Amino acid sequence: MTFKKKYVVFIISAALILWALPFIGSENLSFQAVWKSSGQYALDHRILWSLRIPRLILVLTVGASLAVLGASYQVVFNNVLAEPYILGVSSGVTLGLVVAETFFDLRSGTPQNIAVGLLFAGLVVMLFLLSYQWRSGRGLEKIVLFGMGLNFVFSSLLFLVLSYRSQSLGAGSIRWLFGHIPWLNTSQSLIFLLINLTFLSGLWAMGRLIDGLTLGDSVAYTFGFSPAKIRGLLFLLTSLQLTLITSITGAIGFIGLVVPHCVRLLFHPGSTRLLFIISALVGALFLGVSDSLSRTLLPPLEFPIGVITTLLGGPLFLALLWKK
Amino acid sequence: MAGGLCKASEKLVTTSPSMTELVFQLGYGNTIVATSQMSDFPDEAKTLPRIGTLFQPSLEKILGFAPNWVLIDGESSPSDFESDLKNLNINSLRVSIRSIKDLFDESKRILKTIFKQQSFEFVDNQLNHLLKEIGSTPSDFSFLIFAWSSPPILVGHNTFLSDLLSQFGGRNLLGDKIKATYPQVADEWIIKHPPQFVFVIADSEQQLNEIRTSSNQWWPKDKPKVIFLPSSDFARTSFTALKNFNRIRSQIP
Repeated sequence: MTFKKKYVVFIISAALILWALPFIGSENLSFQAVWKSSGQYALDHRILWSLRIPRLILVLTVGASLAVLGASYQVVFNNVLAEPYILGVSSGVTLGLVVAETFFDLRSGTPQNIAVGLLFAGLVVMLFLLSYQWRSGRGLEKIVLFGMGLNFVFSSLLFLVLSYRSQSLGAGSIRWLFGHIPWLNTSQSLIFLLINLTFLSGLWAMGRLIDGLTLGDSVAYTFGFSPAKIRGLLFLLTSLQLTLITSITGAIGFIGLVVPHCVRLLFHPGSTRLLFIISALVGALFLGVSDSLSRTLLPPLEFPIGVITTLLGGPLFLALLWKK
Repeated sequence: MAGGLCKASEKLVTTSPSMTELVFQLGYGNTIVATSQMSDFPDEAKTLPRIGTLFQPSLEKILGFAPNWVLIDGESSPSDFESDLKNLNINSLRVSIRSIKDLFDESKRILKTIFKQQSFEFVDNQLNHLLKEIGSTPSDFSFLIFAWSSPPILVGHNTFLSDLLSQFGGRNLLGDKIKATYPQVADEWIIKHPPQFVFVIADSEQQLNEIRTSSNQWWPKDKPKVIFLPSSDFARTSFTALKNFNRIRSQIP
């Protein structure tokens, strides 16, 4: 298949999936519920417009963002295994929330309080990593290893806390470990989309600089910019966005790691910006389909979204690698 | 209560708060030499030595107490726990309580197997009392029991608490097709299945308020009646839940 054909097939498939997603869920909705809101369609109309559409906005935003964040991390750290959760930022956030719930009863507060707590945890981790990079001036591999070490420590602490308070809080804490799509209203979902678009625009604006990084640090210097500063800025931007996402949905694994690789294997994008665009689209669709599956596999049960992304994406990725 | 403590020479280890409380209620609390974390009911249990968490009891600790019997809660203990104890030549009895019938049957099995008791006066009295209570139950009602609000985690049909409410005419809308005991369900299903009653099993009034808020979001028009079931009174599968249920019965039509 030629590249042009491949893009056309992709765009048509994406459009079809996007059209179908609002109508897939644990409850079968009548198509007339799109415009009819009274009588027998009242409940379907409400489910569609007050639940599924805002949820879809949230899911597509998270999927697109995680995929772009993964692509950025892979370029910034020049490491094919880099992904948004590798450096411990999100596990720091998750640990912060679970500790707050377990020991400080933060759960009883407003969602804003929880978000602030999570944001704080993420910032602490992020500043820790940045200070490590700036003070030591060590290589990229060391920073990735340092981040992985932090990730292991935070994850172990998290399980320790969960083991300590295993009964009642255990059930609720699963959402932070395997991801959960909360019920936001349309305005909240749109605000979330807007904030993420702002972050993604920042990454887009740095597309050329990231292209420079991929050529190697010495080449980047000849272009007149400092690779360390660009990496620092990129890390700051991506970590803030990741903290925001994790505080809302918990950790949804796999997308950030695999989607950019699949995009590279299938589309061979020639620039970072093109990689970002296709990754965002594929990531959004992938999480959208995973979310629908999580609610339709065994209704009315809803499976943790992170479990579905891994179960769905893992075999697909392996098949793609095998074929290529 | 069984009324006072029975004489027994057994040294018993229990692996969950439910088992601990049940043994006390059957009158053999004085035989328990150790129990799991969070076994704080009745008050006498608070001072008992611990053998580890509910899901990970320590074999080493248990061996240290040299018990004659280990009473295993089949709902929470590891599946290979029984065979581990057998390899260590420690007697064990695995008990699973998922219904009111289970509570009575398993209580008798504990009394018979561990304490060699042949008469079950306390258990029979409790049963008769319950049957009398059920006899005066007027009508049927639909309900959902929430263990968590976001994500919505419900208490399944196949549980002690759901069965208790069913005995009094309740109908768990989750149905018996869902075998999971604490399933996470989709918000849209909850919207389409408004119950008459929402029971909330929680540690505090604050958690109850979270469910109230979610409840207004799920069912803005057909508001169900929300009833608080404190974890300290209803989370364990023992006779305590039966006793405490009388307190909230007046809130059900």
